[in-house]
This record gives sequence, C-alpha cells and structure tokens, in this order.
Amino acid sequence: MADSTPPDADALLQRAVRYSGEGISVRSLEQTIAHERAEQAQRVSALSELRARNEGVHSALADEMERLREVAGELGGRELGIWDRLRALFVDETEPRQSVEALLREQYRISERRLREAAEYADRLSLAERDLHDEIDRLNERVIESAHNEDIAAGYLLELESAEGHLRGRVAALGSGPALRRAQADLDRLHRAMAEHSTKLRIYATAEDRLAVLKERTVELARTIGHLRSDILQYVTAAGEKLDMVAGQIATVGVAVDAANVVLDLKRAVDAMGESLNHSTRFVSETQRYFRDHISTLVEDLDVYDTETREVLQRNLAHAEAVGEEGVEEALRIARGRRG
Amino acid sequence: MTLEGDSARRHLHGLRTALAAARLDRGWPDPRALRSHLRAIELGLPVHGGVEITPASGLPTWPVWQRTATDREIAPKALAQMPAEEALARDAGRGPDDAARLERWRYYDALMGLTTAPLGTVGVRLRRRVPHEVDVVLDKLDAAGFFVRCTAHLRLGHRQTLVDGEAPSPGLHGLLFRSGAVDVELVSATLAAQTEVEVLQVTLGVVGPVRTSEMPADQLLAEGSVCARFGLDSAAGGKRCRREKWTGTADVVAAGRALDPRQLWYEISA
Repeated sequence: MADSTPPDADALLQRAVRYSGEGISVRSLEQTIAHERAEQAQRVSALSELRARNEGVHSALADEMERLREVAGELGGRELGIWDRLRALFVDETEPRQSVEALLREQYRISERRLREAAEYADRLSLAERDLHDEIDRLNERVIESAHNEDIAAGYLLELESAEGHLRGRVAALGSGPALRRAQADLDRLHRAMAEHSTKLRIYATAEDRLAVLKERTVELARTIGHLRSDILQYVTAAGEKLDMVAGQIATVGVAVDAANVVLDLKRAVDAMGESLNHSTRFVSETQRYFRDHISTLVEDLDVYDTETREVLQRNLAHAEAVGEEGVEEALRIARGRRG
Repeated sequence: MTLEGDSARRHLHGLRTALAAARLDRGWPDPRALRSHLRAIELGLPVHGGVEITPASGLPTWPVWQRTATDREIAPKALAQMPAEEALARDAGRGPDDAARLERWRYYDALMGLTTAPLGTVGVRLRRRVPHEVDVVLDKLDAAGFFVRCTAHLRLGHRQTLVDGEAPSPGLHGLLFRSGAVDVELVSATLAAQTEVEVLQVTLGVVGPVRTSEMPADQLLAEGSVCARFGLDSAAGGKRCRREKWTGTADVVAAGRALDPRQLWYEISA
C-alpha cells in the first residue's frame, strides 16, 4: 500500500543524505589515487634500489669466492711434514708467508658485516611489509566506505526517480496556473538533485573499483616484499650458522697453530666459509633472477595502470562536467542494478 | 661459559674497573679502547642476549668482540636507514619485532660515541729521533682469548724488505700475527733470522686473566669484586724478564678476609 502513496518531493529534497567519510569529488578521488600510486612507486623504487645493491654484493662475493678458492687450493695441495712446518714457523729463511689465521679473520669480518647488513635489510623489508599491510587495511576501509556510499546514492536516486515520475504525471494533469508552476519548480529541483547524486553514485562506483584495484596491487607488492624478506632471512640464518662454525674453527686454528692437523683445520675452515659464501652467491643469483622477472613487470604494470587510471578519471571528469539526462539515465541503470 | 642479564652486566663492569685501575702503559693493549669496546658489548646485551666468556681469560670470546666491532662499523648506515626514534617508540608497543627495533636503534645510537679495540692489527711506529729504528706493534685478541700487544723494537738495514715507510710487509704482518702472541724469545729469534734486521727488544703485554664473582668457578670472590693480572714479558740482548701488575677490588668470601690482589689471585687459583 505504501507504494501507491505518491512520494512527497519537497520532503525528499529537504532530507539530508548522509554519506560516510569525507566528501568526494572527481578531484579528491584523483588526488587520493595519485597519492596511493606515489606510495607504491616509492616502494617499487626501494626494491629497484635493492636490485642495484645486490648486483654490487654479487660481484664482491664472486671475488671473495675466488680468493677463498685460491687459499683452499693452496692448503689442499700443500703437504708439509712436521719438520717443514716447524721450520716454516720458527726459522723463516726466505720471505715470511702471510698468516692464514689473519686472512680467515679478515674474511670472517667481511662475511659477518655482509650478513648483518642483510639482516638489517630484512628488517627494513619487514617494516615496509607492515606499512603496506596498514595501507591495505586503510584501502579496504575506503573501498567498503565507497561501496556503502554507492548504495546510499543508488537508494536516494531511485527515490528521486519515483518522485520525479509522479510529479511529471501531476504536471501533465494540472494544465496551468500557480500549482503547475510550483510543480514544475519541484521537478527542476528534483532533476538537479538527480544530477548531483547520480554524479556521486558514479564517482563512488569508480572509487570503489579503482581503490579495489589499487589494493590488489598493494597486496601483490606486500606479498613480493614478504617473499623477499623470507628468502633473505633463510639465507641469513643458514649463513649465520656457517659463520658460527667458522668462528670456532678459526679459534682452533689459532690454538693449534703447530699441531699436526693444522692444515686440515684450515682447509675445513676455508671450505666452511666457502660454503657460506656459496649460500650467499646462490641466494644473490636467485634474487637477481627474481628481480629481473618481477620488478620490471611491476613497474610496467604500474605505468600501464597509471595511464588507465588517468583515462578513466578524464572520462569521468568529462561526464561530471556535462551531467545531463544521459548521465542520469546511466546512473539510474547502475542504481537499479544494485537494487537487483 | 655464557653470562646473561645483570650477571653479564656486572662481569663486564668488573672488567672495565680492573682495566681502569691497572694504569697500563704502552706495553699493553690500549686500555681506553678496551674499556670502550667492553662498554659497547654491555650496551649490546638487550640486542644480542648473553655474552660468551672464555673461562681461561675471563674476557668475552673473539666472536663477541668481533660482533660488536661489526655493529660499530654498520651503526652509521643502519641508523641512517632506520625510521626516527620517535616513530620507533610510537610503534614499540605493536609487537616484539617493533620493540626489538627500538632497542637496536638505541644500541646503534649509543655505539656512535664509542670506539672498538683492534682485534688483530700490525702497525709500525717510527722512532723520529733515531733513524732506521722502528717499533712494530701487534695488537691481537689471541686464540686463547687474551688481549696481547707485542712490540718489537727493530733497527733496520738499508736492504731490509720488512717495513715500507710506516707499513709492515705482508710477510712481517704474517710473521708477527702467527708468533707475536706466543713468546717474546720466539718473536725475537724469528725476526733476527730476517735479512738486515737487528732486534733490540721485544715486549709482550697480556691483559688477563680477569676474575669476577660472576664466574661460576670463582665462588671465593665476594659479590661485585674483581681480580685481574696483567703480565709484561720482555726479551733484549739475550736477557728475558717479566713483570706483573695486579688489580682488584676483591676479598675472599669463605675466610672473610681482605687480601691484596696478588695474594688473592693465588687463593682463587689454588
């Protein structure tokens, strides 16, 4: 029965429509998306920086590996008797040789530093990942808010449409006189309100879709950073364990400097350190490949996305500036669609 | 042996106290650098947990000294790349990782005002007033966990190849690094075998052992007390001599007696 009661256009127009969140306009939506886009670009640029740094680490590790291989080869190939070793230690008749212990200590220092830097970097990635998850929460709130506001706009627009239909019938029935003029004035106000809220409906619909895509992109970025952090932590843990072992062996080498198995100990220490560096090299190579496969695509995707967003926003702006019957009709179709 | 928490803090404080009281001269490793390094290790306790001690020397193990030196090395860069302290403090309550990050920031920041001791360096000091004479100095945390300084006073001939300006040759570096911490006569003999080198004197200053009441084996020491020995061996012109310094703020718990550090040393070593 309520449906047969003609809607009161005046009361409808007087009613305040309460959208949640801050007000929205094409410009503010553009600014929001531009801001989110800039945030993502910054994160991707930080990842690109890591790629550049990893290239440096990769090259340094390759050099160190080569040096360790040389030392390991020399130790493996040398077969000294006890007398030779004692003589080499106490009565160095020729040019004194370099201390392998000093070499190992220096190598340990370099490897430890690299490891600690990697751990610090993993922590920075963890911080970036957390920030991205905060960003995802915020974007989700905005998406939900936009969807909610879209619903409000759709409902109000359908009410306006119904009132407009009744009023149009009344205008046709009235013929002439002040009552007709008042009805026509109400009809104009209804059209204005329909134009205003159909624009809002379209902007909220666009915001919901665009922000949802942005969120997906942010989720992808967070996942990439998460994988990278996890990889680095695995490497840090594995290489750290190796370094702990090496530290013990270096001490043994020092204590047993003239013991019969010193060469074997040195060989083991060098091999273990070589293994640690092998871990590093493998990790860096894999990361390089990972970056090559993903970062460029991410950057390209963001560029493409940027262009698409700009085009959509420009189209929207053109629509908003020329809100007419067509725009309202389209918005009404959206509103009817939302109400099933 | 690993010490943790307040026990580690008291032990490290005891080591610094002993070093300050010893008034070590240039024959020993630089006590100010050692104290600063020990302070850095103490500041790192909340970040790294406990501190491993070499039982024989009472000093932290080489990986602990090295870890702290690495921390000092990376501190400026790490600080530059971390968020500001206010931001970290704001987030510290969010989870253990955030709280740990703030701890680390404070640790790195405190490290900026500290220096670390050399753990294995060989340097050359020219004797300005005496041409062709130099001191070659090895500073090292030796394999047994003691800090040593070996100083070889040399007169160099024109054709010698061990020292180039103020830099030791790789061979001299290796020679001293291997045998400098072992024995003064060994160093003296090894150097004397080199071409165009006359060895005038070799000294070896050793820091440790140091005992504090925090070490489980030293239950005789009263709580908060420390006892330390600093030996200096020298060899010159075929003669060898040894002197020792003793410092301590200790007394013996069991007998309730206050002893001078040297006497105390024998009590706790017995």
